[in-house]
Amino acid sequence: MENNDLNNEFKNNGFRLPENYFEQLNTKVIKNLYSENTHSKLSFWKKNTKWLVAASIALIAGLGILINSNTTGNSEVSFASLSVEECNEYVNNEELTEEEFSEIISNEAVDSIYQMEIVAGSLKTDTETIEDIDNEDVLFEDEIEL
Amino acid sequence: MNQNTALNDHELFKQFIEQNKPEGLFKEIMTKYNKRVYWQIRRILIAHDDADEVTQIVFIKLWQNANQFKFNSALSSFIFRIAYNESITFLNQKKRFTSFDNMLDADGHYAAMIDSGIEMTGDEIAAKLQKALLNLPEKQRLVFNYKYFDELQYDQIADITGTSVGALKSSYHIAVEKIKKYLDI
Repeated sequence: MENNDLNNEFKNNGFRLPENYFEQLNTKVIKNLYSENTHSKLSFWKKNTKWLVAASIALIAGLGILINSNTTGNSEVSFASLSVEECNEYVNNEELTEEEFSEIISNEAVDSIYQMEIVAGSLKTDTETIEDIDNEDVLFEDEIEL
Repeated sequence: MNQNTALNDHELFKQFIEQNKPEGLFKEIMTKYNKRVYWQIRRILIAHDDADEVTQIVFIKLWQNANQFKFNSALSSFIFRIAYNESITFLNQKKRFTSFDNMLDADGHYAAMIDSGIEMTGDEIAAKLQKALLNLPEKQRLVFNYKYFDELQYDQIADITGTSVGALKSSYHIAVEKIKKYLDI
């Protein structure tokens, strides 16, 4: 029996249905078409697309202005604000002037790098003193040019 | 008869759009389709509260996306496709199954719900069939429901689910064999 009629009896599928459900269903749907707190979470984005787009544009513009004023108004970047990774990357990738190098690396830091290399066993500590290896296998050899 | 219904549907929907979606005509369309839509969804989601929520979403979406109906297919297919998509979306949100080919009831949650009787009329044979259906992969269960309960044609099911008629036929055949085995017929 192929029947698409409106009033066709549905095959019994064993599910219980609350009384007068379909009458109430229509009323609920009509109410939700215009109501702001609609049942449908999914329809929220569709309904408010215009406002969401406007809000996004405002947000992006705001951020742009903020970033701009930050960079022009305060061009001095202090070392305290940089992360260790940023410093390391700069040191590894850039050719430093002597001035920059001495600003970044204190004598103590150079010593501690030597110490670390000694610990790691990459330097022969028993035959050489730190003074002896100054011009050899040293990390910042090129930049130092003593 | 089917031709006639489709034609009336198109005329009704055309008026609905031309008159800028009046409530009265929308109620008429809902009254015509709400039972079929609800039962299609209920058979997929089992629980009444879930089916109620998704059915409302379907009609709200129909109202919102009415202008996307192209009048080159049956209105029923357009509406049933929304119902199908929203049901799958709902299932995915519930995360009871991870992909389309998985079973809804891997953890026995729905079988227990049917056993408890809260959602059921008390018809034991009907309940037994619903439990048998829970043992099918999701795709086979859907095809069986559309074919057996909704008495839809394969080409309309293909239209709704975006699956080929051949694949649907074999899914239905496998489903029937599995159910027979399960019910010991």
